[in-house]
Amino acid sequence: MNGNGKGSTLSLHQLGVICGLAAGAWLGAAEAPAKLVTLGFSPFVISLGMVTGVFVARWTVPMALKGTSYVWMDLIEKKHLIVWAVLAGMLWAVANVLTVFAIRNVGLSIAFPLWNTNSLVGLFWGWLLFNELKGSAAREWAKVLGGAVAIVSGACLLAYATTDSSAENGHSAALGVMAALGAGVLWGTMYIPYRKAYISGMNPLSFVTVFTFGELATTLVLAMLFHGGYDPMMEEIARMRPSLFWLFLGGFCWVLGDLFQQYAVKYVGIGRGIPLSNTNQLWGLAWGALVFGELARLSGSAQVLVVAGSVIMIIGAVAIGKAEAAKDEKASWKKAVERECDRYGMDLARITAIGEGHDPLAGESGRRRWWEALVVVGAVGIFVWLALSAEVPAMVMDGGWMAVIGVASVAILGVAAGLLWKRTGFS
Amino acid sequence: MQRRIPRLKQPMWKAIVTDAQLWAPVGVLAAGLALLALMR
Repeated sequence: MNGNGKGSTLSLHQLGVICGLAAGAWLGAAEAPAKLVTLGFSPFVISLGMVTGVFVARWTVPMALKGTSYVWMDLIEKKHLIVWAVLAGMLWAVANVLTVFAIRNVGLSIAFPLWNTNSLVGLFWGWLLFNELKGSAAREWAKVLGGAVAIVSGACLLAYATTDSSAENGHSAALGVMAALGAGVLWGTMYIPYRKAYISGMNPLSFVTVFTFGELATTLVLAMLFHGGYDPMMEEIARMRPSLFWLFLGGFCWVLGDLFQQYAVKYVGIGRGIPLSNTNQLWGLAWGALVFGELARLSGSAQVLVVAGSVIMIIGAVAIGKAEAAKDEKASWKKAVERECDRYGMDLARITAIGEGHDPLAGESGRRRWWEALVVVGAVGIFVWLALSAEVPAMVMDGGWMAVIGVASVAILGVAAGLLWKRTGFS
Repeated sequence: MQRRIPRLKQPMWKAIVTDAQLWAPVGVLAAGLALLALMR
């Protein structure tokens, strides 16, 4: 039982845009639980805690939605993509650690705009390697490129207006700038494996189950390297135990956002999907400003900048949302698919059908296993176990706004997941 | 949908390592690790 277009007249472009926007909401929501982590822990261990939560969720959500037989068969059918998924996870982890140095050396207001150029890097790779925007009219170019630049610019304004400038000078500042730019290049390049997997017909849910190995292993090694070895790292994790639930919860929200990001890349490509998911800055701002009251201390001019930055980001997202790939561009996309099929011995008709939202594997993968339910119960149990010892720090939070944004986020999740199911059966 | 499995023109490992697209992310990852070493 799956959608595969039945009962839905939504175009794949519209679906991809909705997924990109839902990704923004949930990647932004992931920032909220992290704010409850008491200060004083190493950023490497915080990152490891969150990635471990991500690992738990990344195994559970795909299995709950599609089942282990499906994921396994998908991986076996396109096994050449396993190395790409691990590579993507490693790129993410290294970029994430670079952002820690960037924030430390130059502050968030300078570092964030620099690494947020990842969408432009991704746009370049999408054009160069996967024929995105090739054959499209100047008007579409203007919408996509203009929209991406607007979203980066809006994010720059938000970062500039909402963070303190506590930059260091000299050598360490130069290193910080390099680290931020490096993170942007790594995150932008990470979308090459994403797109490669999806034009090869791999299900995003299968891709992330392998991606997470590269992500967790690299984060673990880097945390040990930067933390003086295994024992000191474990000591800090034990000290952080009351905060682990918040990191796991943030990781769970992040997994939901990232899954929508993956579907956006599948259905509208890197150039359009990534700038849309980068609207997470708007949602992060909404949580920070309305729930945690972070903007109350800002001057009038800074608040004007916040409004201006938000409006510019929204205009950019609307421009990209209206830039549907025309026939000539889709013909260029098809050439990229043909290349993969030719090189890796895949059936072009089958891969094309998957790219159009069909899911032939769903009918071939057999029935669900009883122990899949046990794994879901186990994952929920881990969250409950951590929640029992979680401490809520003494922070002022606006419960009303928390409810409003929380309900809005869940509504977006429900709508986007519902449409994805109806149109493609999570293909 | 009827499946038609085309033959690989070369061994899988060879198809992977001779794929020019692979070396862009590998190169960027190596540069990222070098940058991290510099930070340390």
